[in-house]
Amino acid sequence: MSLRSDHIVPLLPSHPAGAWLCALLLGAAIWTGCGSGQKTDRAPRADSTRAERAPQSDSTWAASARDTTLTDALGREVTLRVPVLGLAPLAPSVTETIALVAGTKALVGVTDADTWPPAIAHLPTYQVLPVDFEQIALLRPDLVLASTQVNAPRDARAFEALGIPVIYLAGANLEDVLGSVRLVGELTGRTGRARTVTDSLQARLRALTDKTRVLESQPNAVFLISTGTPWSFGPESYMHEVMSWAGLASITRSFPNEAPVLTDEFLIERAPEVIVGPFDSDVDARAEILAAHPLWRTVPAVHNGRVISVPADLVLRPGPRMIEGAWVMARGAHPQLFEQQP
Amino acid sequence: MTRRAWSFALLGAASLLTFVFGLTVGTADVGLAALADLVAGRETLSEAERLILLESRLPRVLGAWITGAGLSIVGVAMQALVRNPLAEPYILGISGGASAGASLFYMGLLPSLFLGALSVSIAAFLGALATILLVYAVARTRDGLSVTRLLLAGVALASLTGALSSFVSFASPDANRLRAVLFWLLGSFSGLTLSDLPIATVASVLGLGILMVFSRSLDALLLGEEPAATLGIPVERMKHVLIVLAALVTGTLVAISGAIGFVGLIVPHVVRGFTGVSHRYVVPAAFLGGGLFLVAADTLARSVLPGQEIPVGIVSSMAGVPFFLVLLRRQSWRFKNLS
Repeated sequence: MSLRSDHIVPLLPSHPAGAWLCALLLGAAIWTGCGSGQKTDRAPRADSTRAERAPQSDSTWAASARDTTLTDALGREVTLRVPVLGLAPLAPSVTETIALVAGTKALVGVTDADTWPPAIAHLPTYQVLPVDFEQIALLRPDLVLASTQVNAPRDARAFEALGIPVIYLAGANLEDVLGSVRLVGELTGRTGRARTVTDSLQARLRALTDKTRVLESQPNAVFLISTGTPWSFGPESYMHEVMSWAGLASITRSFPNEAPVLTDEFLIERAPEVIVGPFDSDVDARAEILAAHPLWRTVPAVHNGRVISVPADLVLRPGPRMIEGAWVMARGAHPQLFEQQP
Repeated sequence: MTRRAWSFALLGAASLLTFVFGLTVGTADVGLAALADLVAGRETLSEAERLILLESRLPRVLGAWITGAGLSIVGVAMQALVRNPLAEPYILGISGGASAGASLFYMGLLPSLFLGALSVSIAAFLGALATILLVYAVARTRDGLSVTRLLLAGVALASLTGALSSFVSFASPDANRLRAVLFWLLGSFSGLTLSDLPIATVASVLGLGILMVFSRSLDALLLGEEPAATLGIPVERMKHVLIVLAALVTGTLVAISGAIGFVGLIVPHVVRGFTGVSHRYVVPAAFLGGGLFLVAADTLARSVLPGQEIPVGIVSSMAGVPFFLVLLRRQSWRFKNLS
């Protein structure tokens, strides 16, 4: 674009007819540029923003760029020129993964549900449920990264039609999360950083499970989405794993279906000793539960006040921060294990 | 005993059995033995068992019974009013209005009317009332109340309020509230307490009494407005009575249980197969039949999957429709022919 302008603009003042001709040429050039922009701009470009995002210097990056075919979590084969620089995430867990591995400069925008890390505050936002394809296309990402936990598989076809490659990341459990970190590392040319992130996540998890392992038995616990309607998690959820790290035995692990709404009878009969949920920290969650479910007054967790609030962002996003969620859960459920902590 | 007497005896026995079924079946292992201990006043029951029987299952069984009974008799009244077998309690847009009222309240778009859980019920009732008033205003003509306009306005308002509920739910940033609204829209007796029941019970029993008093007028309405007027029935007054009754009973019931569909449509047709089409028999039979049907549906809704419940509206449709279709095929189904 800048080359075209340099050639045309100096002609403008010299002659009225020339000016008209130049205006026509400029219009044609802009029109051509706009028309082809969707295709040519898809390829990684060497402009200043991209260079800033690149892991190495611009020339090194251009030399190291190579076509790679990847199979994503949906089993789709995607061929890309890696490293990729301008990423558009479609789920907060994906944003967090990219931010940890490649930094926020690798992002062209974030979803309207994103809250972490704070450095994303200045980035443009877009809606993802349903996906605002137009807004994302305007940001001209080189790659869209989606999550199988949040995004519909059919969205892939819409992005492909726009000429934007899309890769789905899995997020059903810790293995998936670590795999996503490694994949983002490969995509952005930051495999070393990805290795550091996975190592530190695993070390942080080991530190927690070393603490909770000393418990004689894990108390029965239930995770509730809210203090009102008692929605919980079914058998396929990562939540049981997170609760287990925190030294809690989830009573909905063996349920036959996802997203069950628990009955009063089930809670009274199974009598969980701990209730965990993403309840607002500035309200009395136990009082809210009692107001909505007066019959739960005999449930040990309610009776003994073992209702633990965990920040929603930490536990409802199957991403790298779920280990921190498990730490918060464990501190609430087993404060005695952390008393020696400075 | 006549066939009709047998039908009522059967309905009475089935109601009793369903009542026991509702009290002894659930996700917890608290069954007949525990109920027997409770009735006999034995002290062997644990606190959890007592809680489950008396504070969880009993209000639900009573609430489901009174809701099913009330919705069924309103279904009978609506089918007579519009002389159409497809009519049901929600035909005038009442359930849509109640849902919209509740949705707007859940999303914080209506001020908190009163403290506590009663607020959402009041919002639902006001939504139902606003809708029925609008439908009534559209259906009023110089010559009286136009049943055709009533139907069309009801269907249109149901669509509008449905869209409003969907939009409010869709636009909500709070997923928890969204789930609460969804569950409420599909209908549920979860969390019902005995204190929720008196108003609904009074409304349903009052509805039963009024419809019994006007049973001959309802029979005449099925013949058409002109023949009914010829027989000396005050048709316009009758229409107003039925609309007010439908609004009050349905609005009150929807406010405690959400929009439970289907019961008000099929139960009147099913009982007509046993009692004939005379409203002197259809109304009490629908009252009993609706109650036992919804108690059975709610008991299944909270026991068919371990530890969890599904919205009762799903069960009532899944279990009720095949039964209804078989009955339609097997019986010499009648709607208008008085016998």
